[in-house]
This record gives sequence, C-alpha cells and structure tokens, in this order.
Amino acid sequence: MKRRDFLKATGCLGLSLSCRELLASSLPRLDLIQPNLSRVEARYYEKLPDREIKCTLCPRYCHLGDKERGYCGVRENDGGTYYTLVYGKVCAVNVDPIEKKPFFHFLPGTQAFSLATAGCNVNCRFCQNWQISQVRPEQVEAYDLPPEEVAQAARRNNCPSIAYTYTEPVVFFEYMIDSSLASRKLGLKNVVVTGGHINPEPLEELIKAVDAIKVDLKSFSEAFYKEYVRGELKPVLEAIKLIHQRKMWLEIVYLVIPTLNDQESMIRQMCRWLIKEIGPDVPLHFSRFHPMYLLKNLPPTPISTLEKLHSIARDEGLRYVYIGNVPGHRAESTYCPFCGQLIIERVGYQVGRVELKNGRCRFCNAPIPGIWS
Amino acid sequence: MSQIVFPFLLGFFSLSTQIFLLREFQVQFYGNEVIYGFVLGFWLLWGSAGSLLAPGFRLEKRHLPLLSEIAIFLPVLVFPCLRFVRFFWGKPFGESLGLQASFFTSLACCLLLSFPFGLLFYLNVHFLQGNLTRVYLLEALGAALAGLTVDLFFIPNFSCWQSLAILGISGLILIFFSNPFKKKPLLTGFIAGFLLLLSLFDFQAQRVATRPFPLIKSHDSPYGRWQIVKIEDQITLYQDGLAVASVPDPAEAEEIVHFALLQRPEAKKVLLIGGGFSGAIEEILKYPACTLDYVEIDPDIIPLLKALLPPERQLIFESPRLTIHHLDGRTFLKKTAEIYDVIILAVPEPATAQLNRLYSREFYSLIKKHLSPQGVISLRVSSAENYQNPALVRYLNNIYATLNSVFSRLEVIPGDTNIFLASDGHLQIDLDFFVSRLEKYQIETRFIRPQVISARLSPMRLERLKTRIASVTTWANSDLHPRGYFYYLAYWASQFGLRETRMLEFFFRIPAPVLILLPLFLVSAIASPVFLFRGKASWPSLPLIVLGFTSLMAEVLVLLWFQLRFGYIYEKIALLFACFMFGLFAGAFTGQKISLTRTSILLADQAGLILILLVLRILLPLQISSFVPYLFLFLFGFLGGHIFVLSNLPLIRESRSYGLGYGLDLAGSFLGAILGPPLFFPLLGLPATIMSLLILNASCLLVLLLGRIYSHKGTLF
Repeated sequence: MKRRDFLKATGCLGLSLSCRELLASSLPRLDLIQPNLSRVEARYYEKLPDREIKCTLCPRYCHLGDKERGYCGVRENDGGTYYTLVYGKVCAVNVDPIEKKPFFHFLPGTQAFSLATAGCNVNCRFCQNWQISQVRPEQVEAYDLPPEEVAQAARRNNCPSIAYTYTEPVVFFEYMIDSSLASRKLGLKNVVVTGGHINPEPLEELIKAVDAIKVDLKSFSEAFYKEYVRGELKPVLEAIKLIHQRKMWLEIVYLVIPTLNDQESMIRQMCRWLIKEIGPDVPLHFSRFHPMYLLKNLPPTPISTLEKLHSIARDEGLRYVYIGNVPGHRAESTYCPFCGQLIIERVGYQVGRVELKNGRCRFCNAPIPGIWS
Repeated sequence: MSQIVFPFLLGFFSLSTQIFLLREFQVQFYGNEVIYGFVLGFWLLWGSAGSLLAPGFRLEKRHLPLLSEIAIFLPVLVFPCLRFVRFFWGKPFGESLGLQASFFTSLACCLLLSFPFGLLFYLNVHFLQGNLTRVYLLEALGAALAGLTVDLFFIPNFSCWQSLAILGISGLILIFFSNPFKKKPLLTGFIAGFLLLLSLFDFQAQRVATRPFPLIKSHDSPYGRWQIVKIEDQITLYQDGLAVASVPDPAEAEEIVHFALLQRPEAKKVLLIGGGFSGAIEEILKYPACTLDYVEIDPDIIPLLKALLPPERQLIFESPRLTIHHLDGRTFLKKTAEIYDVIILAVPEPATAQLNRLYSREFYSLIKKHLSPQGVISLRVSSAENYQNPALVRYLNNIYATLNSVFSRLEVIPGDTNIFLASDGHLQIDLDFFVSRLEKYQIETRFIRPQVISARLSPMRLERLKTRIASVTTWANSDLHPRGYFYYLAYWASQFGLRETRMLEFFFRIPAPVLILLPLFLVSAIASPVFLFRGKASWPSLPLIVLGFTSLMAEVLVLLWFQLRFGYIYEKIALLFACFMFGLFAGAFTGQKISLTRTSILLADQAGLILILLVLRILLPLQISSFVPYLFLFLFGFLGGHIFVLSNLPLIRESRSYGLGYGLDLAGSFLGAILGPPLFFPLLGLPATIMSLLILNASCLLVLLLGRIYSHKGTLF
C-alpha cells in the first residue's frame, strides 16, 4: 500500500470517529436531569493528607481522593471536604399507612409522611425502588424540600409521623437528622426504614433524633449478603443490637425469597439470635417476595412457605410474628401472646378493631410492647 | 455425490444451527430485539470473517469432511455452555443478564459456531474447483429445506437438543458415505456419541440450569420453551426464561381482571387475550353475567398446565361460559364478529417488533371495533410505585399517547405495575368507586380491596403518576412506526446501569436524516478498505455489500409486514422464509447462465431491486392479498441470488478470492441485522427504512453506472 493511500484510509477513519464524538457532544444528554446538587458538608468523615478523606458513616469506610464519590454515589470529596449531594433533594414523597413500612406496633392506623432522596450503600438485586436507589443523584428528578418544610408538609397532610424510607436513609443522614429535629419541634414523630448498614457512632446520633427504626434483615447468611446485597450481615446485626440497647423501638422485616433465604435452619438460627440478643418482644415480619428489578424472573414466595417460617419463629419463642403482603391472612393481626386474643385486627394496611388499653391487652391486661400513641 | 452433499449440508446446518441458537438465546436472555440483533448480527459477522480469512488457514480439499464434522460437533460444546452461561457470569437463576452479558456471550457463541461455516464456504468452492455458483445454489437449497424441516417438523416435535442430535447424526452419516478422502470412523462415531448424549441429557441440563429452583416439566413448542418450577404447592410457569404466571397467585390474577371489570361489572361478553393461566379466568367468571372468550396462541400450554393443577382448578377450563381460541390475538379480532364489553390484554410487554403489534394504534383501533360503545380495554405493564425514571416515563407516555389516539378516556392505575384503562365511556379509578362496586356486586377479592389498594390509589399517587406521564411527549406507536418496543428496550436496559442506558439512548439523539444516510456511510466504510487494499478488481464487491444489507433488512421487514397484516402464524412464517431462500436459489441458478460481458444485467438487477423497494414502499400502508409478501420475498431472493452470482464472477476470475464475495455479502447482512430491527424499524419506521435502502441502492447503481462509463474495457469494471 502506498503512503498516500494509507494516509487517505486513516484520515477517513479518523474523520468518521470524530464525527461520532462531535455528534454525541452537541446533543443534550438525556440521562442528566438534576445538575443542581446540594453541597452540605457531611458529618461523619475524617480528613486525610493530600485532600483525601475517609467516610465513617457506614461500614464501607470509603477512602476517597479529590472529586471522588463514595460507594453510595451521593457523597463527594471536593478538595478534602466531604459533601452530601442530596441534602434536601427529595425524589419520592408519599403519604402511606404506617403499616406499609411496615410498623405494626407504632401508632397503628395512622399515616406516615414518607420521603427519600436518591442513593443507597448496598445493591440488593430485588430492590423495589431501584430507579432511585441504584442511580446517581443527577439521574433523578428531585425537588427542594428543606427540613423545616418536611415537618410542615407532614402536618398539612395530617401525618403524625415522618418516615425516611424507599431508598437507604443512611445515605441522606444529615438531612434525616435535621428533618427529625425540626419535626420534633412540631410534635411529630420520626421513623426510619433502613437496611442497617450504619456505623455505631452515627447510629447513636440517629437513635437520639428518631422514635422508631425498622431494619430490613435480608438474610441470616453472610454469603447471601455478599451475593445478593453486596453488603455484610455482621454490621447489620451490630446495628440491631445497638438499637435495642438504646431502647429505641425496633421492628424487623425479613423478605422471604424462595430457596435463596428461606432455609429452615437459617431461620431458626436467626430467631434464636433475636431471642438471645433482643428478646422475644421484637416484632418480626416475614414478607412475601414479589419478583422485582434484577430478580424479576424468580417465583413469588409461596404462602405456605411464609406460614412455615411463621410457625418456626413462634416455636422458637418470638411473640409477635407477622406475615406481610398477604392481605387477609390471619398472621397480619396481633394476638396477645398470653391470652391469645385478637388485640389489633389488620387487613392489608387497614386497622380494624384495637383491643388495647394504655398499651395493655384489654382481656388479660398483659403489657403489649410498642408505641401506641 | 460429494459435490452435492457438502455444499448442501453447509447451508442446511448453518441455518438450522442458527435457528436453534436463537431459540436457546431466547431462553437464557429473555429474548428481545436487541438480543436477537446481537445473535443474528454476530452470526453473520463471524461467517463473513470465516469466509474472508479462510485463505490464511491454508485449507485443502481433504479437510472438507473433517471441517464439516467439526461444524456439526461444535454445538455439542456451545449449547451446554450457553445453557449454563449464568454460572459464568455469576448470576443466579432468575436474574436478568444484561446487554453486556448478551453481547459477549453472543460474540463468543457465534464465533465458535459460525466461523467454521464461513471457512466451509471457501473450502466448498475450493473443492468444486472454483464453482462458486454451484456452491451458492446448493447452500441456498440446503438452507431453504432446513428452514422448512426445522420449523415445521423438528421444533413442534422435539426439543432443541434432540433436534440438533437427530440432524447432526444424519449429517454425519451423509458426510461419512460421501467422503471421497480417507474416512475417520472413530471420529465420526465419537461425535455421534456426544450428540446422542446431548439429546439424552437435555432435561437434566435444564434442571441444573434452573437450580436451586426445582424444575418439574419442560416443553418446547413452536412458540417457545415452557418450563414449570414447583415450590411447595405453588407452580410457576416460564416461557422462554420469563416468569409469566404463578399458580396460585391471586394478586396477579386479581390485578389483571378487577380494575377493568369493576368498570363494567354487568358485562355480558368479555375477551381475555393471554394470561389465562394465572387465575384470571376464575376471577373473570366471578362476574355472573358474563361469558368469556379466551385467546391463547399456543395450544400446548393449557394441557401442560392443567395436568399439574388440583382437580378443582382444572374444572375452570371446562366451564360452559368459557370458550378458548388458539390464535394470535390480532388474527382472532380480525376474524371474529363479536362485540365485547370488556377486553383485557394480558400479553407480554413489547420486547420485540412482533409483540409491538399488540401495542400499536392500529391494534387498538381494531379492538375498538369490537368494543361496545361503553366498552373498556385494559392492559398492564411493569412500572414503579414511588418513582419512574426517564426511560420508564417515555415508555408509559408512549402507551398513553397511543391509547389516547384511539380512545377518548384514559386512566392509569399506579403501582409496581400500571394498569391502563381506556374507553369512550365513563371511567373512574378513585378508591371510593372501587369500594362501592365491590360492595354492590359482592365480588370476593383478597388483594383488590380497599384495605390494600387505598395507598395505591391515594390522590397524591394518582396525581403524580399523571403528571409524570404527561411530562414528556412521544409519538404514538404504530404498525409502520413501531416505536413502542424501543422505548421498552430502553427502559429494560436502564435496570442494568448507566452504560447500558446510554448505549440505547445514544440512538434516540441521532436525527432521522443522519440515520437514513447511515447505511451509506457504513457500506462505504466497509468497501473502502477492500478497494484500497485490493484495487480496481474488487469494485464488484460494492453491490455485494449493499445486497447483503438490503436483502436482510428487506426480508425481516416483509416478515414483519406479513404479521402486521395477517397475524403471527407460525407455519406461514416458515413458508415465507423458505420462499426467500427458494428465490435465492432460482436467482443464482439463472445467474450462472449469464456471461461476464452481460454487465448490463447487473445494472438491471440493481435497478430491479430499487423498483421492488419502491413498490414495497407504496404498498406498505395498504391492505394487500396474502400472496403479496411471498412474491416480494421470492423477488428479493431472486435478485439477491442473481446479483451475488454476477458480482462474484469477476472476483473469482480476477483474484481467486473464493470467500471474498460471500464474506462481503455477510458483512453487509451483519450491518442489516444490527441496525434493522433493533434500531431502524422503531426509530425511523418501516417507510423511512425503505427510503434508506432506496438511497443506498440508488447510490450503488450510480457507482456502477459511473464505473461502467469510465471503464477502459467496456466490461464490468
């Protein structure tokens, strides 16, 4: 091949490649929606030399250089200062029954003003809210809702509580804390729905600011956490213990995914651990899995599986065991563990009869743990 | 005999292996148009590479039987690897494998399976002393017969692996007895043994692939692979790897039925298209006044499922109020004269051009003709309860816009699935409405009841979903401009991450004129290095590249056109394809009679191709007779075969590049496969796609004319 021909050929190739780039750069990027991110300094991090930082909010302990973001994607190191990018930037707001979170022993029959920002510090393959949890904050449409306005909005909607939920509230920690403190001034309560990946120190602060925490315990196996959650079990168990030790109201949800985390031996092990570390009064919800996100082709949980696990948990000594996402099931309701009477009737997210008086069973006067008013 | 058998087997096994590969990919990757584009595209690409690179392998004629046997053996390695591919990617059963996994898997599988066929083409021409035309003829004949026998006999009666084994062993026997060189009985027996094992362990392999979920039954039908998994008392039905229904799962069944039927609880006639095995039939028959027509395209599935249901559930299929029709949904509506009060669509989402027919404006117009004046139609799609990302919003908006172009009233139920309700009559979806209807008509439900749906139907959620859907504008989805499935694919890709979303959304941003001219640019990009490296003698390669691109796009386009006009009828699709291949055969046969000096014939062929494309463009929106698509495919095939032979003759005689022309033809087809159904059809629409082909072919004709004018010898270049 002659030199002229070679140059001709490579010139053509180069031109075609640069055309592609010119074209791509001249058109608006469809994936960028929210370029206006927050810049509020994060509370839990350590400054390191050379403008590096180490985040200390969750057990990942992300070690970040300048302009790098944490695993959660919503915190960024800028010149040695760590910022949260989602402070006050909500992307999902709803008014939901508190039973939907689910909290069964917390202000039953009331509505919770529920909100979330983008981001998460794990990657559950069955995430119901993947469109906001598994993305960067630039990819979601969010709007400004400062902490004071959160409280006002909850009040306008007649919600006695605010729920930090949908994604992982740990990643919008500062916003959650400030909103909780603001809403407390108005007499509102605050609940957190979390996967439990949070370090002890921020958890201590969180416990002081809120009124109840529900932890999603995805499995009692490190292997499951590694493969399906990209997280770890141990820090979650530590978080659960700490929440209980600080006498914070705690409920546990266990999403039962058929054959993946429904082994009888594992459930027994979990129940024994709960009894030993937390006590028999912690409400445990076995929730029915619906195919979702990357696990869209799994079967839903058979109801008989849920009933079996319910039975195991009761046999092991847990007093308040529920089945979720099966409306009309007997195990949605609360029964007095001492006299066996129905004390809170539930169908779906609706509460029917409540046979409690001052937090005690109306029939046998046994104390029923929870926050009832 | 060997001079007939080997080229024939090349065509036969190349096409049959491709068909089975596509079907297996469908199951492992939950086939959509992008996946099909990858598989078909890489098949053609590697075949092209094999043909082009064959001279470098220094193959001799005596290698032909051995290479043929290897080509038959390779599926024994590749198909099990494909079945267990999720283990390679570290994904559990039931987890979606995204674009990246499908890209690299199809690249690897097609390399192993198709590359040898490219080598074999070259070797067959070598074996027949350069008689490329004869090889091409016999290959086309083999492919035509493969299409017919595989689609009409093997797939309805055997599983993929069983079919591969039977065909493979038959092929080995033919090769053995046709082999004019030294026979290798041990090797042949060894390969036959492995093929036999493949067929015997098909179900066991499926059981391993579905672990830890216990697979209890598997059945290959023309419409896909049905698999049944059982956990405790619950059975889950999979079609091509996608979970379609679980029994019992009243949540799913109630959602499909009651939001629609509570709008017209006194409905007399109800039509259900798809989804009957989820329990929807039982839910519909709770409304005492109605009779139900249930349309299910695959006749195999109900007997398969019935056998596994408890006796009391089997009885529902014997209800006197139920009539089952085994037809494509669109075809049923064209044939029936019934008028319905409620039509419920429980069909898969529009992942392919074929499924897109059930989401188009024309289909909804057809439905409207079969609805009573106050009739209601409902359809259900996946969504998100708390936040809908941009790709999802576009997808939902497109469905909304399409329904809105036909019906005057439209409502959307929020949730993890969205239910679209459309009618020219009154619609209501507030909570009080459903509460009052459930109470009045005493319909017993577990999930669609106020205690459960109150949160779902909160005013805040209803309003927000409406606002989100209205926040973008998309054009309605239509038969000739099937945008819908591209929106769905973009949404599907968004779950795998930013890179996958960007890959598809990049094409959204390309202006239509650029897309229309893109084939011209790409064909030039392929032709230029060929001309630069091989000089003037390779000019005839240009029509081959254009031919490959055009014939593949046109073939797929006409197949889709047929389904739009006449419905999806499995046997007829096979016949259509065979028609194309027989046209190819006829064209090549007559082409070999032409002498090299009759270059005007090539020009006439190219002009003929342009003329046919023009006629196709004109007829596209019109109602046509059912023989017309067959005629078009035959003509495309005929001209294709003719052009192939004429263009290859100078290449063979001038540069002895036996595989060059075939390779370039396949390279053009590769572009057609990658660009056509996944991109051009939905983004440009079928008419503009034909325009693009016209521009490309007209440019080719111009180049040929100019080349002839400036030729010194007055022959072809």
